[in-house]
Amino acid sequence: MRLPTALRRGLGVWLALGMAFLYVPLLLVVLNSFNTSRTFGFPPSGFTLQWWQRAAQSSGAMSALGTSVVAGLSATAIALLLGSMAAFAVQRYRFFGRSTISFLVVLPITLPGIVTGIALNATFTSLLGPLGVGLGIATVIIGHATFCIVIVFNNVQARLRRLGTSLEEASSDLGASGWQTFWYVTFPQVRGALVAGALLAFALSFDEIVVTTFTAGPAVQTLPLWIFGNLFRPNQAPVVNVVAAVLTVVAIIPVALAQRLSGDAVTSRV
Amino acid sequence: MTDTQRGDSTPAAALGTNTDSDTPQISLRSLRKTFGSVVAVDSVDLDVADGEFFAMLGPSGSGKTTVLRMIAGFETPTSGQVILDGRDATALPPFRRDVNTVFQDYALFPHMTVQQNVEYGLRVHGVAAQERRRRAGEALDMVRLGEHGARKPTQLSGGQRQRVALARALVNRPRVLLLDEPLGALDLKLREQMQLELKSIQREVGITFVFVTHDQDEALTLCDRLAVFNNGRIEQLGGAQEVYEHPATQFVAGFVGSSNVISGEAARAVLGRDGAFAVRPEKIAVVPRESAAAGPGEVTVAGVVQDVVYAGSITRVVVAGPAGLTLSATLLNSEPTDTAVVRRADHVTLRWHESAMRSIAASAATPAPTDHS
Repeated sequence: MRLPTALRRGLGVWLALGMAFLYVPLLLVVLNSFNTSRTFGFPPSGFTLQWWQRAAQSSGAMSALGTSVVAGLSATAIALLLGSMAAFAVQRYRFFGRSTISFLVVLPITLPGIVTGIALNATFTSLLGPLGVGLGIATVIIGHATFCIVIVFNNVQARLRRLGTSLEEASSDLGASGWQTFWYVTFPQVRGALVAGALLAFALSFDEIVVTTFTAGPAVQTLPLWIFGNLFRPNQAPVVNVVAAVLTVVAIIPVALAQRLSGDAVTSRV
Repeated sequence: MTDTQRGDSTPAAALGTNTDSDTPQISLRSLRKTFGSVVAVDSVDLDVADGEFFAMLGPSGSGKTTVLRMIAGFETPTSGQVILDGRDATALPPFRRDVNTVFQDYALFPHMTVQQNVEYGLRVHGVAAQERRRRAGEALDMVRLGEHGARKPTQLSGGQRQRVALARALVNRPRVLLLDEPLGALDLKLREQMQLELKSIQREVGITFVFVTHDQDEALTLCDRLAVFNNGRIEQLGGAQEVYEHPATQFVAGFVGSSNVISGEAARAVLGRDGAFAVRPEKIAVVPRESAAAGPGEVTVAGVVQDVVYAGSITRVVVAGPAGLTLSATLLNSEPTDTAVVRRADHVTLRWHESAMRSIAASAATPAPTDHS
């Protein structure tokens, strides 16, 4: 399509403004992590790596990072297992209440995080509390899994729907049992969707704060919780910038990978 | 139910290619399949003999593909039985049936090479790698794709994919090969070539082929016997020539080839009797009005030429007769001439022999008989 030059330039400027709106704040965070000024003055008064050093030595930030990674990986593992099983059930079998289940699985991602958080908090304290299990890393993982499952479920379900059943029928026709068909035919076809779903789920879990606040309890601190707790302490502010810069990069990589993988998955169909 | 009373008059048995002619390779008994309130297949009875090339012909939605899928095991009949080689297979899953399928969309595994696709059936049966490679190579050679084993299905043309699907289905040496509209996606030239190839491969491997098609030319060209499906039922079952020359119902007369149907008032006016009669356009001669003497056993109809359509090897002539009857005749363009034999608005006489005309029934509401004697 050919657009008039003036219109094209206008659109270009508009696009640049939109992109700036989205990405300048992020850039500022990265920039400030190298800024010698403690008060984020602009333009930066000088270049320094001392905040990065302090961040690396900050035991609070490091242990929060560890907690976030453990929570993210665990929630993703649960989501992969339950999400893909639910997707298979819904896409490959006909049973009573199928569409209701599909709806109920997806619902948690549309609920406000604060509602999920309150609900989980009430459930955990009233049900698990009497059993002697308090809020901790396990409850955070369960809380994160509620929305991570949706991501995996949606990815795998969409892939299975596009795939259709003819490859599985062909495999069965040639003599493959249900498990053989799954390992040799279905799994290779949905692998891309599983990886994409897992990466997105991990990224979501990694920066989640609302549900985490309600499920973490006092002893557990994930990275976002740590940032939130330290942001307004003047001493810690530069270190927070460093952690935020790291978070940005860590979050971008899986999302970019996921996009490439699910793109591949779409086009690799014969 | 072990049913052995039939299968004695099938072409395969007559040709002596059948080792066990008493047991049909496929027997369907009162087969019925409903999807919700839709009856897809209703009271289908059918025997297909060993080594037979059998066609299931019908328009889309006539139930032929559903019958094929019930033979393969992808659909469970609502009622009735599927008997394969004398054993009740109604409840068996597809992987326990000695039947392989060539799918309409080929369903080649996109993440495997051509070689891996063809080896797949042997691999899941636990055949050793060396044996697997040898037999897959043979199957690929048979469909003339021996050089293409290392490619991915996406790198092949439609015709090549079709042949990979064929090799993949044959490598297990099944007793029965099912083909679901196998040539539907190919262009005309390729289709004609593949028809010949299918026929020769079937002769070579000697197993039963059952194929589903909506193309009557294809069915007549390929098969020994065919079943014509309409509304989930078999309207007629018989040899290709028998079905074409003796259509049992109005539907068959219209669907397999084209027919002029003369019924009601027109039948009384032209033939002097009640009923419905079919006559093929190529059985009708178009003669000038003055030389139109009816010989013994001949029917003549006077009319005016409405349309002349030149179609290369033949010319179609549409003639308006008495009592609102419109008849079409095809003339073979065998004379070395450029001039048209008839023109629009010519007064002509149509003539055909009584024996070329078939009395037909309205389309069957009762189950079609399974006997094909």
